[in-house]
Amino acid sequence: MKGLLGLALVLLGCSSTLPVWEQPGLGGAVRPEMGGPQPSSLAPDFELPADAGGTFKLSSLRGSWVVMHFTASWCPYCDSEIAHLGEMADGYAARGVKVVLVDEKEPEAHWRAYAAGHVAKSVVGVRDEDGSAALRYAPPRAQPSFADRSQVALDATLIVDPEGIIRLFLLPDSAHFDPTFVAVRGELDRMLAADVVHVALSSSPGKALVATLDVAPGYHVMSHTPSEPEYVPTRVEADAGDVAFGEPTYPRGPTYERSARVVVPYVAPKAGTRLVAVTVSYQACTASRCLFPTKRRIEANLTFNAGDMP
Amino acid sequence: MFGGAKTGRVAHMKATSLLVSLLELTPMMLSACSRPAASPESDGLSASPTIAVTDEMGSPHAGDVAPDFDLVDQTGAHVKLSSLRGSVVVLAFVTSYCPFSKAAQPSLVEVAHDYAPKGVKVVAVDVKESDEAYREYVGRMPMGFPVLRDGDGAVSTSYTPAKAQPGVVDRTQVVVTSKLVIDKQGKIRFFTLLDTQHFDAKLVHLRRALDRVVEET
Repeated sequence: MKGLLGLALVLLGCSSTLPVWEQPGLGGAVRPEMGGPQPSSLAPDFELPADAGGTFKLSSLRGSWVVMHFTASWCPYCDSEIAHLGEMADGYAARGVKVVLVDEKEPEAHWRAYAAGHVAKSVVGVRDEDGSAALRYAPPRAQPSFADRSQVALDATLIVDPEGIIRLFLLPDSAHFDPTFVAVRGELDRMLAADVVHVALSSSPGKALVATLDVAPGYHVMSHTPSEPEYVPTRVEADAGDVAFGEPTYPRGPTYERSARVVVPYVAPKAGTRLVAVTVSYQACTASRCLFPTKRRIEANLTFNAGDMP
Repeated sequence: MFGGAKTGRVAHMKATSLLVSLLELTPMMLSACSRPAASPESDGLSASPTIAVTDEMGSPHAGDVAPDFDLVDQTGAHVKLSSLRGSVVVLAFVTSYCPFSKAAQPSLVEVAHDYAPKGVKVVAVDVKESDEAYREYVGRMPMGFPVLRDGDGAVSTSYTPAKAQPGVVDRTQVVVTSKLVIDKQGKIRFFTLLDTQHFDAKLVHLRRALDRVVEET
C-alpha cells in the first residue's frame, strides 16, 4: 500500500512540472500554437437564449467559478458526459460553482426535447443556434480540417474564474475520454483550494519564519496531527539556500479553522534578505466534503537574522 | 479554536479513499509522465498515432474475420461483405452529423479513386441515421462507392469491441469515423477509432496500411 501511494505521489509530482496538455486527463488542453482564446485570456462574452427563459450573459457570472461545456444532442461523446455534468453542477453548487452548458447549432425544439430528459436542473442551459458563440471559442489553428469552425469547440470544457479569466480550456481528447470529468474536477478542486486557503509568509522578530494559513469561512484544513492516521496532514517546508530550517511548530488540535500560524525556526550564516520558497501541503474541507489535497509553493523575500536557533 | 470538538463528525477524505482515487488516475498519470507508446497494430504500422483497436478491447480486432453483413446502398443495391472476398476492402463508418466524418469525407473519395486501379473496394456504412441525414451524407459529393444504410445500428454494433471507448454510452456510436482494411481472405488487418487529438483527415495511416496489404499479393 505504501509503495503504491508513493508511486502515485511521484506521479503527481511529475505531472506538476509538465505542460498542462501532458498532465493526466488534460491531453485536450489548447496549445499556444493553436491561437486564442487561451488560458489566462478573458473568456469571450456572449448573450444567448436560456433554456430557463430570457437570455443569459456569461459575464453575469463574474464573481463565481464557472465550468462551461459545449454540446449537441447528436454528439455521442457529449451525450455520454451530460449526466456527469449534472452531477458536477449539483456537487459544486454549495461552493458557488456554476455549470453552463452551451448547445450548438440545433433547432430549439430538437434541443428542448433532448434537454428535458438529459440535462439536470442545476445546469444553466443556453442555445447557440447559429454557432456564433462557439465560434469565439474555436482557436484558429485547432482542427484545421474543419470547414465549419464552430464545430471545433464542440465537446470542449472550460473553467472560468471569478474574474472571467479562462483557467482551463480542454478540447475533446477521444484517446483519453473522461466522461466523468475526473481531471476537470481535479483542476477545479485545486483552483478552489488555492482560493480557500490563503498563505502569507513573514519573519518573526526572533529567528523564525512564520507561514500563516487563512482559511475561508465554512472550510477547515486537517492539522499537522490529524485525529486519524489516514487523514492528510498540513505540512510546511521552507528552503532558502544557505539557511538551515528546523522542525516547524504547528498549532495543536485535529483541524485548523480561520487562521493557523506555523513557525519554522532557522539558522542563517549571516543576516540579510533572501528569497525563500515555502511549500505548504494541506487538504481543505467543508463539513460535508473535501477538495483534492493541495500542494502549493509560495515565494517571498524575507529578512533573516544571523545566529543560532532560539 | 481549531475545531477539535467537531472532528468526529467531519467527513474527511481518508487517505484510503484518496489512494483509491489516485489508483484510478494512475493509468492516465503513467501515460502523461512518459510519452504514450503508439498503439500496437498487428501489421507493424506502429508509427500510427491514431487509436488502433487492440486485442484487449475485445472483438473484432485485427486478425479476426470481418463480421459479415448485407446492407443496401444509395442506389438500392444490396452489398454483402463476404461477396467481396478476393479484393482488399476499406470499410469506413460514417455519419452526416460528425464533424470528423465530414472532414474526412473528401479523403475517403480520393482513397477510393487512387486505389481502384489496385483492385481495392471501398465501402462506407452510415451509422444509425435518419433518411434525411443519410441523404445529406451521400448528397454532399459524388461518392463513387457504396454508402450503406445501417438504420438500426446492428452492423455497427457487430463491429464494436466491448471494451473500446467504455465511456461512450450509446455503443452504436463507438465506431463512427472508424476505418478498417480487410484483406482478400476477409480478415481485418487495420482497425482504428477516432483520435480527436491526432485527427488524420487525409487518411495517411489508412493509405499506409492499404499499401502494405495490397503489396502482399
